[in-house]
Amino acid sequence: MTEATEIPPAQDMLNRLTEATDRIAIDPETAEQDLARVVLGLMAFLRQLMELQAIRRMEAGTLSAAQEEKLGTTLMKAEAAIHDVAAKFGISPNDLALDLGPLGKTI
Amino acid sequence: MNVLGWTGDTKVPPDAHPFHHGGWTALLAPSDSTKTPHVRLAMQVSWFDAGFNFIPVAPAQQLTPTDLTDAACLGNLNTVWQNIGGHGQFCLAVRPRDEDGPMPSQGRAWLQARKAQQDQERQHKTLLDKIVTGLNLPANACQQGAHRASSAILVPRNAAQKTRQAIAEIAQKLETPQDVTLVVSGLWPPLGFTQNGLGTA
Repeated sequence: MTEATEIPPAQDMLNRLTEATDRIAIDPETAEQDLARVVLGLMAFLRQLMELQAIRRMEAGTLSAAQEEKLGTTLMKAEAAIHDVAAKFGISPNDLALDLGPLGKTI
Repeated sequence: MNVLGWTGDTKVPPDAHPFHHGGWTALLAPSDSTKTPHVRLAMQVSWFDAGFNFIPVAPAQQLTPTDLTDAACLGNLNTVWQNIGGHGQFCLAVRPRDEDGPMPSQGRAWLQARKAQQDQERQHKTLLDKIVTGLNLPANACQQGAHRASSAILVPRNAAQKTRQAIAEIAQKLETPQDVTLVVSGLWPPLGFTQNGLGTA
């Protein structure tokens, strides 16, 4: 590995430095978008849990090739659908990670 | 006015508006010139680089002087000040050297690619944990995701150069794959270590 020193883009750095306050917050003026973020964030979280479970089952060898294909396709399309709906509210995929404080981020 | 930080020092940045409260000095800046988190972070970094010691408020948080009455918040400032006064933070991230190619479009191959990504992220986290442990400095819990693992370490200002060298030495000693890179940036204001003080936890 090569040790490299560089300054990441400002947005990237800002995201990491400020994530401690990236909590669930609903503002009266942006209620629709904020609610969408919470709901879509939970959907993204549940989808990811299902993905982790699918990978575990795949590793354990309890899925047939056809089941793996079906599960993979479903999870892939579910992710794309969540991102599409989020984009309509001006929410990026990164914004779907909900901060649960000491419990960490959802995704 | 927005609150950008707190200090127990008598010296305050010339472009900050000091507001004395509960034995502390809150560092305020006009709301109209500090509307976005980027601007607030830039101002905090300029104060930090000029050598001022302060507890920074997370830039994403818009804290107004009316929020300063929280006694619990003030009570925690002493602890935070003891921990981070005279310190800054380095941000460390381990990530793939090259960007990932497009994901497969077939379900099974897609699932296998996701598994490979997970394995890679786990390796990145293990590597970063080794580096951080080797430094023996206060550190944030390693965060994993988006194909990278990242963490922040608290560093005394006067040990920044020494710490940077130590990071490079540890990274060189570790036998790691050629396809990952370690990114170190800083010294930044210790924003990742104020969780117990400013209502940001």
